[in-house]
Amino acid sequence: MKTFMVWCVLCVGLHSTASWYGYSPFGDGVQARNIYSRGGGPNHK
Amino acid sequence: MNAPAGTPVAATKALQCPSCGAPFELHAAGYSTLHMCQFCGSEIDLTNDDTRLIKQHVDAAKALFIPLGTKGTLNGVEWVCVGNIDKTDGWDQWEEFLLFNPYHGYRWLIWQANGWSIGTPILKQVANPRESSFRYEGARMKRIYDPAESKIERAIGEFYWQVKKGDRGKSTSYVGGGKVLSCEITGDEFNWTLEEIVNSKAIATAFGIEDTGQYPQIGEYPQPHQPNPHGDGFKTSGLIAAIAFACAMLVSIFLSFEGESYSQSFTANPTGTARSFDVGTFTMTGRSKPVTITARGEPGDNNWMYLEYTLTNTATDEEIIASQPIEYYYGRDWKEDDRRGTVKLSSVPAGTYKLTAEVLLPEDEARGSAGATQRSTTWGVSGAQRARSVTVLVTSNGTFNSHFFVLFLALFGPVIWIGMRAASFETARQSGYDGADDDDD
Repeated sequence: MKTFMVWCVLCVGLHSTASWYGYSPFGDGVQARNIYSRGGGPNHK
Repeated sequence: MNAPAGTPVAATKALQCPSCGAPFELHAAGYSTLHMCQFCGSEIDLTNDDTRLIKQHVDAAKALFIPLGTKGTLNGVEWVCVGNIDKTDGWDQWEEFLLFNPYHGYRWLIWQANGWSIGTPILKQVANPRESSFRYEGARMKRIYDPAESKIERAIGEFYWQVKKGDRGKSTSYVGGGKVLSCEITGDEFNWTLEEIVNSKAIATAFGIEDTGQYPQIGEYPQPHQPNPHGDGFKTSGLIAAIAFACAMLVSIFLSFEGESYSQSFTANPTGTARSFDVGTFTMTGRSKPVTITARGEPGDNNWMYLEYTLTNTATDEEIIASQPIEYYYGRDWKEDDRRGTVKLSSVPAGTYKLTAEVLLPEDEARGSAGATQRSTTWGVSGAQRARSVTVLVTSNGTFNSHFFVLFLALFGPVIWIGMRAASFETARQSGYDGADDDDD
């Protein structure tokens, strides 16, 4: 259980550091230029 | 059977088997009424001063886990092993060692294929052993083994009742509160025993014998009252993970109050060509921060527009590109409403930035290709004929949902794994119960 506690502290530390610097390895919604055509229609089937 | 406090210490008495001549000692002289010779199995009556052979046997001597006469201390009480019984119900086989202490009476040390238990005889009727469950000392006891006939295959040593090889009776067991209540049914007589698990290492240490092991080292499934080694770990790790996750959320909420906000509205005219507008110029100081761009627009019914952002560092002319679709589709019984969208830019360094947004409409795509023209015509004719508005808000803060997703996996993944191990232990335990096969059907 001590190992798991250390793991949790590490995870929260990494999460806080990433939040502090606003870093995300994935980004949320960022896309490249000139890809605006998403098909022009609903996803509804 | 429990001896009252203050009972005088039983005398040890040296005797000789009238059948095979082997010497033996009585460890509970005055309490025991029968001795079964451990070398030949003959039954010797101890109710009179002169030992009398009841029945002669010629069984071969057997090496016991705990030799008769061995002393050992369990839970602070010194016990001497005075008897041993081998039992079987035709399916399982187990051994019961009778322990004696003149101040505490008798206990049963029960060895099964998956570990040890110590049983305390209960001198009152606990319940009707035909009931499938009942409450005992605050715990709900549930029947795990239906009444089944068991037979004594061998008995050696001293006993406080008349017992012999071949004796039959029924037995049933209940589990609850981490203990087992077993009931021996002989005719109209019910003998209850409360069993508590004892670690095999504790037995080995107490009686100076080799560690016989316990589940999972031996046996196909755990004992009914064996503590789940992962049960506490699951609860504790779940609590720790939940606290850690809450702490991470508090940090994110705290950081979300930082930063500045700028907003700008714009109306895109489908017939015009000016589709680009400035949202604003702002300065970010200090450490790198996320930038959140939120757009809300009215693309028209069953139509779309697309926002392409360019965040330019005015000092270095470095650009960060992002884009956001604004869509609104609906049918008779469905709707896809994406008229509000958010884009988050990761770790934007300090500096002065200018944010511009370009609005792209179906008409622009229509000009790009023949196929796109068809889509534009199909989905956007009516909506494309009117101007469409959009409002963009930019803030120099934000939290990433992906952070929480990754953090959740990192924190609760191990908890789920521990929980699966705990569940696997319980499944293995219950597979040994009567009716387990029925439950599977």
